[in-house]
Amino acid sequence: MGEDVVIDVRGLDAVYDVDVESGVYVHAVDDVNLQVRRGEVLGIAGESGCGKSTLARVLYGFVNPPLRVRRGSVVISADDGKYDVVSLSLDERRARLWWKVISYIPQNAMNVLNPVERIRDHFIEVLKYHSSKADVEEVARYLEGIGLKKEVLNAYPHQLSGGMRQRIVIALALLLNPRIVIADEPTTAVDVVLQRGILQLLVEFQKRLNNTLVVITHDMGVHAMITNRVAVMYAGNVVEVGETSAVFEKPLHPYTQGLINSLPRIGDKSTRVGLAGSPPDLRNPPPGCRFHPRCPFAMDICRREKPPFIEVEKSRFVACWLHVKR
Amino acid sequence: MSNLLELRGVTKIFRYGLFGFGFKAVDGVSLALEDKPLILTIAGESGSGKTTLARIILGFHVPDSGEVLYKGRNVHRLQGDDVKWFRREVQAVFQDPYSSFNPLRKVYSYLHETAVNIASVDKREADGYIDTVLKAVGLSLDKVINKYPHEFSGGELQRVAIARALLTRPRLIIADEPVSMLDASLRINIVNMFKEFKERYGIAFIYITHDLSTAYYISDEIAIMYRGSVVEHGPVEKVLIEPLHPYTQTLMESIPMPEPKARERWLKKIKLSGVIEEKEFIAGGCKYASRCPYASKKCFEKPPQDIAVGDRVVKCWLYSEQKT
Repeated sequence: MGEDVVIDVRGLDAVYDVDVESGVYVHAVDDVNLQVRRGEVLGIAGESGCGKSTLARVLYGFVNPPLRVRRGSVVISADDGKYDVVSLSLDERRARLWWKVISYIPQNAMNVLNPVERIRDHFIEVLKYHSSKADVEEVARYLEGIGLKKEVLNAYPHQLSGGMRQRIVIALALLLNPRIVIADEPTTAVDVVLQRGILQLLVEFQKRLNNTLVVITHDMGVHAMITNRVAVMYAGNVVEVGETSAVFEKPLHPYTQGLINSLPRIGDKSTRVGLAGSPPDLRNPPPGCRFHPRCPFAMDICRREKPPFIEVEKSRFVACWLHVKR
Repeated sequence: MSNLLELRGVTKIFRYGLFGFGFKAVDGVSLALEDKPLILTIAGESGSGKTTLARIILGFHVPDSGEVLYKGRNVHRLQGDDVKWFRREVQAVFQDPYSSFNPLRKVYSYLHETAVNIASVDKREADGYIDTVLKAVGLSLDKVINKYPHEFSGGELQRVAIARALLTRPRLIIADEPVSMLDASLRINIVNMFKEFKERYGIAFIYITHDLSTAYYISDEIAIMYRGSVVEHGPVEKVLIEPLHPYTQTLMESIPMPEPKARERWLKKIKLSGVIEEKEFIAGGCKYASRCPYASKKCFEKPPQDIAVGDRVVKCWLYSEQKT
């Protein structure tokens, strides 16, 4: 493990308990291994229910019942050492990691502000907790730097448009210059012009401080526009990881191939075909490779054994029996 | 040539509050759909009025002014048997199939009722007919007959919804965001079906979406809506490849393409506006003026007219001189 790894995920298994007594659970994240490097924009791609948001929450250490980590570790490197968020207590996560080292922009970010608190109080609260001095003037300058007028500090959330609230939440997440930012579908509910502006803001911040940005989205267009590397998830597994341009140019996993080939592009009317079938029920996932029921290349071994996650080329990982040399 | 559907200056005002403050959700929309199988996309961001427009065409909302003519007849003045005729001819598919079907009823009952009551199929022949139509969407009666909505995946249930619409042998299907709930890899299968039905059964479609990639892929024509108005309308290849209206241009530049090569241009810094959106609905001139890089004084004062440029219609003063 190189010094530049800021989040090291090993053998991570996370489940949602459905019925604790009978031991029924939804296996949302299954044996995930992933290294997030310093200074990169890493994308986590996949369709609804593939476990990408669950993975994001575990990376941040935001694990509440019914979500439970069964196995594995998520080691985050801070300036003062390494912390495994899985074994850290809530108070420790709060004191040592959150906001300063790692911050999280949740889905539907525009709806997370406290409706009865002015915008300024949201900022003051964060600053006070982390014992730096809470200077409203400084916050105003900071907001102007990202194109928001200082008047918004006196507004209540409902007085601002969804797009502005979204920018406020992002501004809060970036306030203490965390070295890692995790953004879960940061622009799903906003229009495309605003989406471009917000993503540019996130990328600019990441570049300026050489920080790490983890972007979770189902929108392959967003991955193509801002990520350096992309991890593709399917039914709780990371099935492929690689440089973004390489993954788009030559997807290796049959699922990634199907996903990328199904995307229509403006200017191209040639017929495209989607994947057959639908994703499995994660309470009872299929044996072997979880993609085998939909895979056009499925072999015997795919139905029996889970494919190993292997490095087929430099920095190119895939979990598929087609790529295992035997 | 006669039109299948014609909208003439359709306006819908939603009022709220004690003093009846109203805003125009749909503002003077005129569109015509020729009487031949084609797919027209109505595209726009959330709040642009595209769903309201769809609901007006379907007869769910009565416009405050203007009229909607289907085969020359005003759809909001139909009575008696004509209502049934209209329901047979014009069908709808909505965004969320789970909220289109009652969760306590088996979906088969919807299919049966539509076949018998609207399509006037004989009861004894209904099941055979339903099976044929379900096969056209890749399902079959035995896979559907005993199931409740929650027993289907989103993609499957949307197929059932499409089959239900097909049962009446419609001439026009209005599909309001029919694939935005579905995953990308399943989306294309549904839109491929629309294309196939257009070619095979001669059905025209109005495809309402905010997703311009699938719009380009399946449609012949496109109308771009902004704050209740259609700002540009024409052949999809022209509107999306060489957009004329400044709004369409900005929109096209902003779409994240699944093409890493386009990254550099897309990351070119843009400035976000601080315009209060509500004000744009009641603006006196062009609703896009406060965001438009080319806006002149006239744009703030006078709402632009529909201006024909080749085979396109653009609502923008920039093109007024070109009209001869």
